[in-house]
Amino acid sequence: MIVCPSCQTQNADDAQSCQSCDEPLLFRACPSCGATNPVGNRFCRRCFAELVVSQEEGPPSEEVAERTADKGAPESPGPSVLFIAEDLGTPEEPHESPPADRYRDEGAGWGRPEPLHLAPPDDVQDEPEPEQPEAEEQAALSTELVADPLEGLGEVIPLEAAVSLPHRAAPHAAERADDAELGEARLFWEIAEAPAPLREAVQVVAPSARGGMPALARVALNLLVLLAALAAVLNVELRTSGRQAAAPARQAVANVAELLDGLPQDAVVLLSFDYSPAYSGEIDLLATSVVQHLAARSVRTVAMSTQATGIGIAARVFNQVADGRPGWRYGEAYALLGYLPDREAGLRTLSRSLDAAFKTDHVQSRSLGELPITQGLATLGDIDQVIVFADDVHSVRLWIEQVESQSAINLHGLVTTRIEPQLIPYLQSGQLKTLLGAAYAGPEYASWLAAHSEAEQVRLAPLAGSGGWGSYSVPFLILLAVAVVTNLVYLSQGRADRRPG
Amino acid sequence: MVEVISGGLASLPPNAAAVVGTWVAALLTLATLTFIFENNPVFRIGQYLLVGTASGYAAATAWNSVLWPRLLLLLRDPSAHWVYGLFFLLGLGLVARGLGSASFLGELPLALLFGVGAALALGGAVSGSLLPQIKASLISINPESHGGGLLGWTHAIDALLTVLCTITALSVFHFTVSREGVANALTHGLMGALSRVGRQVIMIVFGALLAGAFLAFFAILKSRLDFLVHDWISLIAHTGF
Repeated sequence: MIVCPSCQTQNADDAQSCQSCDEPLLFRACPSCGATNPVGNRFCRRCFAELVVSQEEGPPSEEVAERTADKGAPESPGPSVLFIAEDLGTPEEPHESPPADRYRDEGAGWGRPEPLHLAPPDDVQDEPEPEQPEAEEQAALSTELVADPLEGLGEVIPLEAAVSLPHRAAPHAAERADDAELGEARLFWEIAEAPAPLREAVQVVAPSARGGMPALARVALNLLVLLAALAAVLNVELRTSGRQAAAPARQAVANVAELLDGLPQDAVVLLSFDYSPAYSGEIDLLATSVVQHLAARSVRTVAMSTQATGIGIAARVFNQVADGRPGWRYGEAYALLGYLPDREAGLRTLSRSLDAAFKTDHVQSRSLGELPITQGLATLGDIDQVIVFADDVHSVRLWIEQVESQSAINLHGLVTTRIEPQLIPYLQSGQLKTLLGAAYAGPEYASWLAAHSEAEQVRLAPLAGSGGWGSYSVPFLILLAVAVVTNLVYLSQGRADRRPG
Repeated sequence: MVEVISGGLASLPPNAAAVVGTWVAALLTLATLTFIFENNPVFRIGQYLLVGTASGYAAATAWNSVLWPRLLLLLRDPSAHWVYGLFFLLGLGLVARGLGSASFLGELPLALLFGVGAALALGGAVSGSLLPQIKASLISINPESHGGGLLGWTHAIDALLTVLCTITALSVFHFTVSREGVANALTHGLMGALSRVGRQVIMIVFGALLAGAFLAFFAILKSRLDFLVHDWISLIAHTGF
């Protein structure tokens, strides 16, 4: 059994290198400087002196081996010295070799290597005394040429033990994993080896170290959200007539409504329906209110979309409004221009020429020159107001960058509440004349229309979903309560986590 | 076959389309809402129907609104509208992109699309967003320039907060400050203090964005519940089916 001096691993007797760290187990002491070298090295790794005995010189003689065993260091350097660790601890040299425990206890990462049990090869031991005089002459010649710089020091310094130490820090022994680490490793192995689940909904959720929100609080919050939705559906509204006028959102909606209300009848408004059906539930009410208002004011209205599905939504909204207004005819009072592909280039084309952007209208496939409402409309400069209904920031930004910055138009963004905060800089810079979030602006606009319809004798069709949903409605207050409770629970949870212990 | 279908449709009551449409919409709404329990086949059917019909509608719209009107112009008067023929050839080259050996035909239209698109996007971003936003951020914090009085002070404080929030938020993303030397150490300390404030500003913005998203999705939920209560259940109550 051979114990590796680096990692203390036990190796087989015939091992040439350690099976754990691959360190060589057979060393050869340099005849010049005494440094240990792997037995396969031809030159010393410290002083580059030649170590390997050439075929002509033959293997080390028994005499050299005996001298090594007797004194621990060669009396004469010779061509090379086979260093056998086992010989260092032999009883013949107790005065030179320190006890093994002394080295094992000293220093971090260092320790005297276990005595290596390595029998010299049989061919070396059994080899008879070389009989050829050339070999002896060569050995004598090399002895003369290479002087041992450490000669004479072996009696006062334990050179054999010193040179047997490894020339680098020994690696730390692997720490034994505790039960928790073994448990985690076992769990990881089970997850990695388990067959893939067939159902998409199955997820592995690691238990959080934090306590999280209590289950009761979660249920209460879900119930609050459901209550808010039901209150909105059932048209529950607070009586806060005194404060309604002070709401900034309501005032912003009123500003837009009054702007459209003051348009002359020969004015032209372009509506762009740049939102997908997924957001119809939020924007449809606002879009319908605006179209209804423009129809009531008999303002010429044209619609388009930069999304393929948007023009279908526009058709549905206009049909809904037109159903209650027999005199509001397609082609005379309103028209659907169609879908405008390739947003950047399309919008640039639109700002230059409406006829180049839309060859025919969406409903009757007639050229824009044939429709009475679009006669005389050559460019966007002929349009008084441009209102963009959008569900993503990019759509509105394209209108600003490709159209508003190139030609002076009055651009209004009526968007989803989700993207409204990201467009506020454009409102503050004046590039957007108006910015409204549809979630609150839709009901507010419908309420404004209902409040002003009697005074101005404007006939308005009732809008579905316009009630029970305003800035001071019960659902908004419940949602506000949900937000406050959630933040309080989060903050209290965070404080509990920061508490020591 | 077509006559049979046409005859069958003609014999339906006039509001049949509305009734069928309401029922289909209600069932798909309920199918979508079943996701509250877990991902299930009913929900996925509604999801696939939405994607499929939207894609089909988009393709039909592109053909009807864009391709067909221009193709008609080309066929009626090729000499006057020959440029549309060139565009159609470029479009066909784009289709050839997936044909293996003929894929090189798609390189020119792709280069045109990306080149023109990038040029327009870059030019628009500089002239429409970058420069106007830089100009808009240069705002006065003098109350007199905002009209004076209480309103002027309000605007001045608002402008000051805007500038401070912009600087502190930008300082959060300043990661490479050397600590060697007194000046660098002072800069490092200043940037650290600003970034701590800026991080809170960004958190507030994220909170506002989250609240807006929550409000938007809640509005959509409310509209769907509105539809179920006022349209679907009312239809059942009035017509019996």
